[in-house]
Amino acid sequence: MTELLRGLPPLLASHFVLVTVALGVAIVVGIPLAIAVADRPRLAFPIVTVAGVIQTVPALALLALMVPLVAETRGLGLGVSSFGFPPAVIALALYAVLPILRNAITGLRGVDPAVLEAARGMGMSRHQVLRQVQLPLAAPVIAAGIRTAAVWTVGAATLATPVGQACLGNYIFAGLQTRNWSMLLVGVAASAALAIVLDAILAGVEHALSARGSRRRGIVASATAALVVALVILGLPHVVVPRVSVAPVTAATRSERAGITKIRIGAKTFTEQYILAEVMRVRLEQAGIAVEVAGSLGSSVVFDALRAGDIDAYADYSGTIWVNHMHRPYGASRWQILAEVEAWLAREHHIRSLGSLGFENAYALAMRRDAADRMHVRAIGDLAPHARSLSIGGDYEWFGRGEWFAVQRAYDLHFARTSTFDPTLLYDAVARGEVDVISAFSSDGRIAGNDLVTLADTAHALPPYDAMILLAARVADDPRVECALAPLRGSITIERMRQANLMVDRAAGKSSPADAARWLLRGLPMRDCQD
Amino acid sequence: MIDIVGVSKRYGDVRALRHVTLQVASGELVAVLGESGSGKTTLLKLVNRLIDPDAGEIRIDGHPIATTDPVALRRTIGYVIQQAGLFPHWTVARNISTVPRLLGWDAATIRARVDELLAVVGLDGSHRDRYPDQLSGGQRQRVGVARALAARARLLLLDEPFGALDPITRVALQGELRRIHRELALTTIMVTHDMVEALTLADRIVVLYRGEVRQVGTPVELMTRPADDYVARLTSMARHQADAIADVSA
Repeated sequence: MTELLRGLPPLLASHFVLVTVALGVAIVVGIPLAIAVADRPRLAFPIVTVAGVIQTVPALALLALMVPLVAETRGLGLGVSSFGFPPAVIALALYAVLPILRNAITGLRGVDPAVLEAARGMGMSRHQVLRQVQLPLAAPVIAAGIRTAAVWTVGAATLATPVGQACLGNYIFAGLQTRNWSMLLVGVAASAALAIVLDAILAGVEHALSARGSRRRGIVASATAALVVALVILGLPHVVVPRVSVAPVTAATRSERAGITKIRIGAKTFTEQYILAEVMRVRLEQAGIAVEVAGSLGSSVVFDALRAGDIDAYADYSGTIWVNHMHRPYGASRWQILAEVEAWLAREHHIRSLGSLGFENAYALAMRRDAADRMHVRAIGDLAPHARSLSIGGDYEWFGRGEWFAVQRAYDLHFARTSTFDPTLLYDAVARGEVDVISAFSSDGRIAGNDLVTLADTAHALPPYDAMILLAARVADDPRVECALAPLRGSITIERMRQANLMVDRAAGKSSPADAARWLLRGLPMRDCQD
Repeated sequence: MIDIVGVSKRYGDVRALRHVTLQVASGELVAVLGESGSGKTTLLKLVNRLIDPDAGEIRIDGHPIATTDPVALRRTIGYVIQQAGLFPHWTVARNISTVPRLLGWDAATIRARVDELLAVVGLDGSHRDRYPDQLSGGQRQRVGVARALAARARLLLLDEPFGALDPITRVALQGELRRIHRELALTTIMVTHDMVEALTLADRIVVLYRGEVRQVGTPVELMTRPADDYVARLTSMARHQADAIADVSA
C-alpha cells in the first residue's frame, strides 16, 4: 500500500494543475462570452447550444478527439504537442465552458431591470454598469457555475490518462487493467477527495460573493490566493513547455542526438504493455538512462506520440500496424507482414523496429476446456454447427474489427448473441459461463489461469501480431539504447509472457508489472551497457 | 429651463409620443399625468437621453441635448424611479455617493455630502451603513431622492416615485418632495397616474393621452377649464372623490 501511495503526490499535483488550468481557460473564455451574449438572445442561443452539444460528447471521446485535432492543426498553429497536456486542457476546458457560460448568462440576465435602469440613469457608462452593478449582483450565480464545472472537471480529468497526460486516471486505468482494485480505489478516492476540497473552497467563495462589504472581498481574495499558491507550488515542477514536434531526421540534427540521457516510454492500456514498458525501463536504467513511463495511452495516441516524438519508445504489434495504420488486407504470412511493417515504419515515419520480441499477442477465440471437450471443438471451424446456440463476448474493439468479420466469413459462423466486455472482465465472463466463446489475446495469462483453450485458426483468418519494440528517430541510433534494448529481440517466449501477464492479473498473490518485468529479465543473457 | 419642441417617438407600430411640445421653467414643478401607455415615462426618459426621440428637439438652458454625451448629461440630472432602484449590494451611503464617485469627488467631500443629504431627506446617520433590504419602502425612496440629488443636480426627474408606498408614507414624502424642491430651487418633472397627487403637488400639470398632450395648465386651470372630455372626466373624478370624503366626514 505504501508503495502504491508513493506515486500519489505527483499524480495528484498534475491532476490539480490540469483541472485548474482547464477551469481557468473555461472561465477566461466563458465569462466574457456570457457578457457578450447575455442581452443578445439571438446570439446566446446558438452559442449555448454549441456548448451543450459539446457537453453531450462523452468526455473520453472528446479527449481522444483532441489528439488528432491538435496534431492536424500543427499544434493549433502554436506548435504545441498533440500529446498530453495541451489536448487534455483543451478538451476539459471545452467541457467546463457550458456550466460557466450558462450560469453567467442566467446570472447577468437575472439582475433586476429597475436596478440596471437606475444605474444607467445615474450616468454610469456601459462598462461601469457591468463592473459596478451587473457583475457583482450576478457573482453568486456565476460562482455556482464555476463550482459545478470544477467538480465535473476533476472527474473528467481522470480520463486524460489515455491521451498521455499524467493524472489520477493513471491509477484508475492501470488498476482496472491489472485488476488491482486497491490501486483503482486510490485513484477514485484521491479524485473524490480533490473534488470535495475544491468544491468546499469554491463554496466559500460563492458564499463570500453573496455576503456583503469588505468581508466579501477578503474571503474571495484569500481563496483565490490560496488556489494560486497551490497551483504555483504544485505546478512548478510540472510546467509544461509547448514542445515543437520533432522534424524529420536530417544529417544536421544527427550529431545533436548523441548521448541520450532521458527516454519517455509509452504503454497502452493493458497488462502486457505495462510489463513491457517496465522491461524497457529496467534495461535502460541499468544503462544509465533516465526513464519516464507514460502508461495507459490509447492505441492510436501512442503511435501518434511516437511519430511526433512525444515519446521515444513503446511496444506495438505487427498486425495492429498492418491493419490500423497501413490498412492492408489479411492473408499474408507472419514473416511477410513483419518485414513489410518494419520497412513501412522506417520509410514513412522514421521509426525503427527492433524486431519481434519472440511472441505474438494475436486475437484468438477461446472457450472453457470442459465445454470444448463436450462439443469436440478443437479449431474455430468446429464451432460452425454449434454457433447458433452459442454466445460470444468481445472487448470494446472486437465486434467492430476486420478480424471479427473475417472469422465469421472464413468459418461461416452465426452466433446467437454478442456481448461487449472490458478486457479485464472478459475471461471471468467465459469462465463463469456467462458467454460461451470470447475473443482472447493469445499471450494473456488468464487463458491458462482460467483453464481455457484457444481454438486453432486453420484458415488464417486472424492476422499475426508479433510484439516488437519501436524506437523514435531521436533515440534509434543511440549506442546505449541499442545495447540495452536490441538483445530483447527474440528473448521472450509466449509461455513466459503468459506467465508474466498472469502474475500481474491473477487475483491472489499479485505481482506488480515491475516485478513481472524483473522476473522476465531474470536468466536472460544480457550484457552490461554502462559505459 | 427645459424646452421640449415637437418631439415624437414610436416603437414599431406604436406611436408613444406624437409631436409633444412643452416648456418647463426654472424652479417649476411639473407633473406629467396619464394612464399606462400614455407615453409619460417615455417623455421623462427623453430628457436624460435614456431614450432618443425620432423627431423634434429637447434643449436644457438653451443647449440641445442631442449633441451632449448622454453619460455626462445624466450625471447632471437627478433621476428617481419607482421603488427607488437602489443598488442592493451597496450601503445607503455608497448608494447616495454613486454619482459623486463617478465624477471623481474626493472621499472627504463625498462623506460630508452624504451626511448633508441624509439630513435633507430626513434620515438620521444610523442609516448610513444599512443595506436597501434593511429599509422600509419610504426610507428606500428617501435614499433614492438623496442619491438623485447627490451631485447637486438642479434638474430632478421622478418616475412615479410614490406609486408603491402606503398612503401615509406617500403623503409624508409628497410634502418632503415639495419642500426639497423649494429649498434647493430645483426644476422638477414628475410622472404620475394619480390626479390628486398631481393637483396637490405640481405647479403645472401636463395631461398625456395616447402620446398626445391634451392639456397643459395649473391645477386651477385644469379644474375650472378642462380642455376636453378626457381631462374633464379626470378632474370630475377627483372632485367626486373629494365630495364623497367631505360627505362622510360631515
